[in-house]
Amino acid sequence: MKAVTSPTPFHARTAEHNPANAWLPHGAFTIPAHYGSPDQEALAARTSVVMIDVSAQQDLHIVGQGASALLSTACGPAVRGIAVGHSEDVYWCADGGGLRGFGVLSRLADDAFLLRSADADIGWFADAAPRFGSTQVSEETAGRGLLLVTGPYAIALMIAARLEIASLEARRHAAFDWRGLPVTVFRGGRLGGYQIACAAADASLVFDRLYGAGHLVSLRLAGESALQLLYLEAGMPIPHLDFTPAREPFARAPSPLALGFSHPQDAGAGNGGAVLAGLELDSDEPLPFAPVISGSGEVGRTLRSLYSPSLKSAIALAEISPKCASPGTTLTVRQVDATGRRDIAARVVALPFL
Amino acid sequence: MIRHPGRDRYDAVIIGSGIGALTAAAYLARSKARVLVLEANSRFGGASETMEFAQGFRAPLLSHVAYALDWRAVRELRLAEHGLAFAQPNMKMVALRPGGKHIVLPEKSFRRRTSFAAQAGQEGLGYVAFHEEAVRFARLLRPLWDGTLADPRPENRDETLTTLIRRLRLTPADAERLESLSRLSAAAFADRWLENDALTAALSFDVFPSGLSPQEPGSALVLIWRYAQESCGRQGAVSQILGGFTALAAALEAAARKAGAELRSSARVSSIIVEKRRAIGVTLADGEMIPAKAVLSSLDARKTLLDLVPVGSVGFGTAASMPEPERIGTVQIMLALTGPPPIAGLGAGDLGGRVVIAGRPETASEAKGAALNGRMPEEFAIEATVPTAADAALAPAGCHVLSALLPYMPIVVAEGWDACRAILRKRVLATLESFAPGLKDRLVADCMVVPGDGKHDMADFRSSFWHMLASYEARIRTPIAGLYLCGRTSEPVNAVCGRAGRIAAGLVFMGSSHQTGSP
Repeated sequence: MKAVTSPTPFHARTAEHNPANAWLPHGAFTIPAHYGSPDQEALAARTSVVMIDVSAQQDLHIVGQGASALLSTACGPAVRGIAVGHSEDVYWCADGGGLRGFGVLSRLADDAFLLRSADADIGWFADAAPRFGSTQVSEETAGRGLLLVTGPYAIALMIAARLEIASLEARRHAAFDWRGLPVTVFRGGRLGGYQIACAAADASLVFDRLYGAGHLVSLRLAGESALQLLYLEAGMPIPHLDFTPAREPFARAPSPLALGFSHPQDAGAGNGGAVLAGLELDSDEPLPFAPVISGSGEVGRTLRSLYSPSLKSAIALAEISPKCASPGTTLTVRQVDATGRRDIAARVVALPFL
Repeated sequence: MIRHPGRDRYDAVIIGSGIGALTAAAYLARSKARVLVLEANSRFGGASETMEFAQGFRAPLLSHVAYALDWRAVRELRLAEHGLAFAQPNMKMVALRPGGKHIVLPEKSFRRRTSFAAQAGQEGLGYVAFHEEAVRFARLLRPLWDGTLADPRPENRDETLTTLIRRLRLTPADAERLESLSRLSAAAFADRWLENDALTAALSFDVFPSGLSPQEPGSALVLIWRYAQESCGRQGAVSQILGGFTALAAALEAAARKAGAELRSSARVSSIIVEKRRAIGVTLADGEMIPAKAVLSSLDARKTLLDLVPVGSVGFGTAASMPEPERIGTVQIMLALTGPPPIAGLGAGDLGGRVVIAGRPETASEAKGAALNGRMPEEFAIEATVPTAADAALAPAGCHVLSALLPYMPIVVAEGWDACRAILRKRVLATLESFAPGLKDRLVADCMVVPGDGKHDMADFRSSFWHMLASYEARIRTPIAGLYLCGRTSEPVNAVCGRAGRIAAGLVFMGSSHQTGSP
């Protein structure tokens, strides 16, 4: 049976700017794949500012007296230390240690949290909630629209749109009354910039205000293809694209360390002998999920790989042996296809790429 | 709050006093450990009870036969010296059929298989082949189920089977058979050899303690597990304990006390104290804290790990993977009779057997379907015994007791149990009367125990293929160091065994060692 997807709250506006009619399914939504040129959109995020419809990101609200205990059990004791109004990157694992998911956890009140992630894993949290008193877990993705504004001129766009967020510090979120429109703005995340959440009914108005102010700062709309490239350049793996989340309760793979996550409490834990590294390839052709060779032995494999217009070469995330993960190490990525076998030289670089 | 002084720290505190708990207590005390058993009720023995349901008439409650008792514990703890005796070491099985053409399976089935085959013709040959296959395969898997196979610790569930096949050194053909058992029902397994529906129904009915019905996938493995058990030195035998499981509990209690274990009744544990992911004692309902190096719980895994330990001590995956409490229950009817039940066509020598009434292989499955929907089944699957046939002390002279178990019954019925009780009694008596004309004339009193009567304190669970194939160590150890499970939920199938208690005691004794065995 084919999955049913819905348009995002911004669909009426993004469709106007999508003459190529390029769309992608993402979770329960149909989102713009690109607006004509993914490479130019990704470059614009480095040189000016882009606006991306990220409404498909999932919001999990965890509310109740046991919310803090629930999240500290799932994501580590550091959760208890998050102050109201602050956010932290968190990840959660299966009992065997395999990574199930990661996201940004914001504390909205003493006993209310918002977990925003690419894949909310609601069953994991909802199943455990009854053990933590009156904790309620609900997914509230469908009722809101979410835009990401990122790039060096992101703050300029905010000022131009008269959204008074100057006082908002990094990794904080706050609710604003934007000239009569209630919005919530989160500053930070791996890509920097601002995430602006609004009620679905207000989505067109929010889009128009930002897009209208955009001509002052060369705003460009960007789609999912550019976003995936930006995540790759930021060294951030994406669930279901870079790795399969560990959804078996006792799964041991993928190891968090192999995907770039580590925490003091993980010290000494088995990591499957791999760490996350960045590879710059001596080629314009991406080589996803290919063996990585050092000398005569295989030391790991690439994850997602794309051409980076900013770096003018193909890049790849890779899970490789820690012995070969030092920046500057020269490795080989092996491409095997119907035409034969080719070895492409690659250099380990520090993450993020940009 | 009263705190025990540190010098009074016990080596092990055991929550509950069921068969598993008392077995663990006896083993630990025997190895000079300082052990305390805490029982919430006023008497020891857990759910095992021999009930006087009418003046002078007594019957074992719910578990009226033993088929999975840990024989190593019986021997090593010298329970015979503490009063344990068997009324029948090996009971016959009788499949009742209308018209008096009953099938009586011999108690020494292996020794008498040839003579039985000669008597019963083609069907007898089929039974012999079925029995040989089940016993042969059961022997291959016995190391897993008697606790001698060390924890294989597979990486994940997909590897459980592969690891097990390697550890048990199964041939490729046997490995393929084991794999096929995950999909096979008990009825289909028996059906390979047998053509008689009544015999198939009676044999496959034996899976009922697992909560699975004989037509559910995976129930064939339960049948194999049954044949892997030993009673009084005979593989696959079913025995009757003199005095019922109360007598077994009393023998274990005496063995534990003699070895030096302390037992406290009316001591309800309200929580297990956990520090740095290690169990360090228990707190009683009256606030008393009892420190201990190890805590063993004979309560079910859910109660122990989700209710008694502090919230958050157990990972989400562990909580999610715990066996679900079963949504079906068992009804027991005990009849006080002035004479033996007049079962037509059944000789006096066969009266001490286990009588199964399940006309078709589908009877039990249909009953389970109805029970899950909160309805009374149209047709009953019944296991009946006449305990007084071999244990005359349970009734006045010349009188008899008939105990009938009806598994696959709803826990909650739409009309309420009070409204259904009289109707159910009438229907069951009518069923029994149809096989034993004149039974009602001999009836002087009866008693019916239904789910919700407070006799099922422990939540039953439904066995799964993976639960059965896990090692004892995997079922006994918990994510919290120093906390062990020793009750029925640590057994492969929901049955009174005591084996989990013996192995848990071994694990406590050997500390962090991964070997299993007794102290």
